[in-house]
Amino acid sequence: MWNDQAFRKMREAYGDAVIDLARHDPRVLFVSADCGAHEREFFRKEHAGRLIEMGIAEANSACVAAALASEGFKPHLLNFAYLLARMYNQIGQTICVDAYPVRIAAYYAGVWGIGGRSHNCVIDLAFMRALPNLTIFSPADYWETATIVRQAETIDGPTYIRLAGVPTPVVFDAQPRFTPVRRMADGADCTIFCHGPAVAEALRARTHAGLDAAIVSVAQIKPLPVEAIVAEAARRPAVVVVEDHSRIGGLGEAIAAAVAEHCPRPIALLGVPDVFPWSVLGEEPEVYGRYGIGARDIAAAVERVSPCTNVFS
Amino acid sequence: MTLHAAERRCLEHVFTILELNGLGHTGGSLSVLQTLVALYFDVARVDPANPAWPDRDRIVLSKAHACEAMYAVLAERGFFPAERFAEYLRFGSMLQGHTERCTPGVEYSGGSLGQGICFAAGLAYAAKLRRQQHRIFCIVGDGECHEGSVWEAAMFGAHYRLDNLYVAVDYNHYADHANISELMELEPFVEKWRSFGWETVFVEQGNDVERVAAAFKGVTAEGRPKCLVVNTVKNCGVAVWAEHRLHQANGQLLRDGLAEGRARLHVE
Repeated sequence: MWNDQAFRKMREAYGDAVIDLARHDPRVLFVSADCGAHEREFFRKEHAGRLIEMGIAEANSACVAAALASEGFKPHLLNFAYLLARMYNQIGQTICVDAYPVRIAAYYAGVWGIGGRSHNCVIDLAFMRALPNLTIFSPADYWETATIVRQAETIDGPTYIRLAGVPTPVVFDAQPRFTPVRRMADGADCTIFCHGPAVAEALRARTHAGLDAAIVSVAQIKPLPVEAIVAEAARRPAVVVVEDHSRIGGLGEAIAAAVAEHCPRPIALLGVPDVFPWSVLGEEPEVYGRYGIGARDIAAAVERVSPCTNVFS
Repeated sequence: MTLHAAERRCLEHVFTILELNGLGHTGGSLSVLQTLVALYFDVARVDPANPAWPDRDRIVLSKAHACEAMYAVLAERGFFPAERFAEYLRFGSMLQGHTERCTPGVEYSGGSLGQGICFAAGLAYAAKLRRQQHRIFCIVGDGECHEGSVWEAAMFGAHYRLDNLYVAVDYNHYADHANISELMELEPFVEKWRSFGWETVFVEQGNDVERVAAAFKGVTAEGRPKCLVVNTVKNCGVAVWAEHRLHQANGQLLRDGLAEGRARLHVE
């Protein structure tokens, strides 16, 4: 079923974009607690002093990044999503209280990955969303990742970009302009909100199940673009949210709250159940199906909430 | 003004803050006061008229609960008027329950331990990167050294040869609930810092402001960060609080200690 889609790594786009920023601005630094790939090599070879090797010391890395930002540098702090929890108190107190513009990015977010239950992280949004002053992005694919790295650089405060760890389907064919909420496809029955690689899954569901549903990608998770989300939700009689994140604390709960408050609609929230996700070898196409966030689950949810069948009609 | 005179005035300010508000961190504020006075009135280069002066020395209070001492010293040094003490702990005030950057002169918003020293290490790296000459002074608590991140920063400081980084450990021997040695032994403490690559000295009389100032000036190794293990007494100068090993005081015990501390100040 995936044959019609190309896969590319968000991590590559992230690295390319950071390198590009670094080439044009000597204040751009890379803070690495034993992380990074080609971007780390770029700094190591061309700007050694601007690669701050931390060793495997996440807590220190977050505070050092904050200090560098406080002195006018532009530190990029990359790590695994699950390790954000290991520096959570540092991100909160030392980065976010004084709103230092540290550019946090983390990969291995979502159920796709070989790391197993320690690594495949589906709870990052739950704890990162709770931090005041933090802006959070979830790019839909390789192309939008580059867009968002640049967008984050314009924000006067800390940012977090959520990245997958494996190649994910591309949904754009070039770098799009940044927009926090983007209608990828239109339809009459239902608004399907999604973010990250779930955008491709929602588009796949729409095509393969012949859904008359709008696909709305939410690239900015926090501050939640409530007005734009409510405007989309209000256009159609029902709402589905699908995401590669725990049902607890993700975009689903955020949108449910906004919709309940501003334009109540029948709503279905599809997210990863309350489990630690298993290892997944390779690009197993049906992995989303195993967690109830696959194309078939999306189609069934649309059916469930749409006006012709739902209990409110 | 001599260092001793500054110390006495700051001590009076600490008593004022405690009295105005009826509670506070007596223990850690009174053990660290002389270290702060030595830095702000002698060792460090700061400008109260221009707290953001780019060439200032940065002073990071990692043990941010010692806020009464910090507010006393900053006010006495001229960063803000002592009348503002009345706002301490009030909603939205610039004098919070732990030191934060909303107070003029405060470089770091702390509270959760083991982070200010990491931040200070980052400031030291930034200064090296820009080839700036200012120094970074960081005060950590002894109990704070139970935090693993303190030792992450210690490795970082030595690895990058941050000889512009000075850490003073307020070794007052008590944490919130018990003697440090009972809680989690730090000894051999000086050797620990040395083994991490830091030029380290033990300041036996850590509540003697002149000796603390001299110790800061005595560590000069090139290419190595510096550590002063400052041997202090919790609640220094107030026997009734020291007797109870108080982390915080309020009520009658606070009033008794204030009376005793003030009486002693006026006799000396």
